[in-house]
Amino acid sequence: MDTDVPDTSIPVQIEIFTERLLSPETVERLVTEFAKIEGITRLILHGPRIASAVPTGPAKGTPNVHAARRHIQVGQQDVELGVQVGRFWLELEDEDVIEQVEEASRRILPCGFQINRGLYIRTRPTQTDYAKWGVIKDTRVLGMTDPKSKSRICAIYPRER
Amino acid sequence: MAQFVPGTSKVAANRRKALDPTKTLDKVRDVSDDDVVAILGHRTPGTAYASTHPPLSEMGEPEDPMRELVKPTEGAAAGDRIRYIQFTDSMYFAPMVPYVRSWMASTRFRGVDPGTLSGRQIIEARERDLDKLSKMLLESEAFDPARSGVRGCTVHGHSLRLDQNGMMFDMLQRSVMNPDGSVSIVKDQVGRPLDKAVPVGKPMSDADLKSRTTIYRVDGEAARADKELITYIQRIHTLRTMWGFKPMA
Repeated sequence: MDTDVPDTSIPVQIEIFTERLLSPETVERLVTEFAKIEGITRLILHGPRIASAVPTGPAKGTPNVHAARRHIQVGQQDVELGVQVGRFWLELEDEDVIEQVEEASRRILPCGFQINRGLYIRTRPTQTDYAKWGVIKDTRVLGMTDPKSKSRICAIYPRER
Repeated sequence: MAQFVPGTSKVAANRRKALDPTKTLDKVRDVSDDDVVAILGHRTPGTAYASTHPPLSEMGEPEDPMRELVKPTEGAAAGDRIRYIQFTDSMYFAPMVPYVRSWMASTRFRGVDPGTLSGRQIIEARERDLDKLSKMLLESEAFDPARSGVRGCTVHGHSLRLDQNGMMFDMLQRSVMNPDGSVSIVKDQVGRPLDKAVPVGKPMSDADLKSRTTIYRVDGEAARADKELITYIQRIHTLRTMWGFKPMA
């Protein structure tokens, strides 16, 4: 019996792991490239957090001036970066899109990178999701926000999709 | 002659150089006294040292042979407060590794209390002693503008990938790289903006860092490749395991 049948319920998800933590300008250029690729359904920018205010110490509460904490423009959307990006988690419609993503990354990124295949964005609601949001009908929003964050999900081309 | 660390590798030699107080660390930049005080952030540059007790000479201390034998440091004699400097060193070939920094503070400076944590290293001392040792460390090869940082709080960055421009990640961005490639410190060690940026020069090149580092790395000089080091570590491990802290072998 052939047991090597792909499970169609498991989405195609990849991680782009860069050798360096990227500047907002590079992130803006790369995500803009991704926005042109048909077949990317979800995308998360991941990296160490850059708080808006100094979190500890004698300067606690004062504004944290940091060049990497700025707004980037992706399509028509304005996104505030709260992290210094070191990983991109992407959910794709099918495996064919990986090649386009790799090609765009190779063109834009100034450093080396790895593309890993795995499950990075959850597909089923957790108990916390249920407690916070109740029954979630649109499963595309699952895992797209930090439960502790008040930031909103950015939707590129919300009318078409 | 004092023995500091074993090993035949360049890293071991660098460690011996850092720990041996008879050897002088290379001076690679100039930082003025006022700039050091500003970076530390404990007092305003130019102001008098605050004291926590009267000068020892006025305190009428009891007669004690140990007091005769061990002369107080300048800061202790003046009754200065105890203050600190804390470093974060990137694991990407920073000149220092936290433990070596602590050992170095113990062998090179008097009246200090060094402490090592996972990715940072703190040295506590009387304030005027601290100013002197901080200046010496900041001006020496033990500090690199890109791979080391003076961070009193929010120290995260030691084990993270470097930024695109080669700087170690710092959530408070206390150092910035200028368009000409040089680095300036723009905030004190706890993240308060400085009145004027303190230039600390260009970061060392990768080759320079690799020749000065005290960090063993597989992609640099691996600890396991240093046979003498491994022999001593295994010997100490065996003695400790079999006889605890009183090896009779």
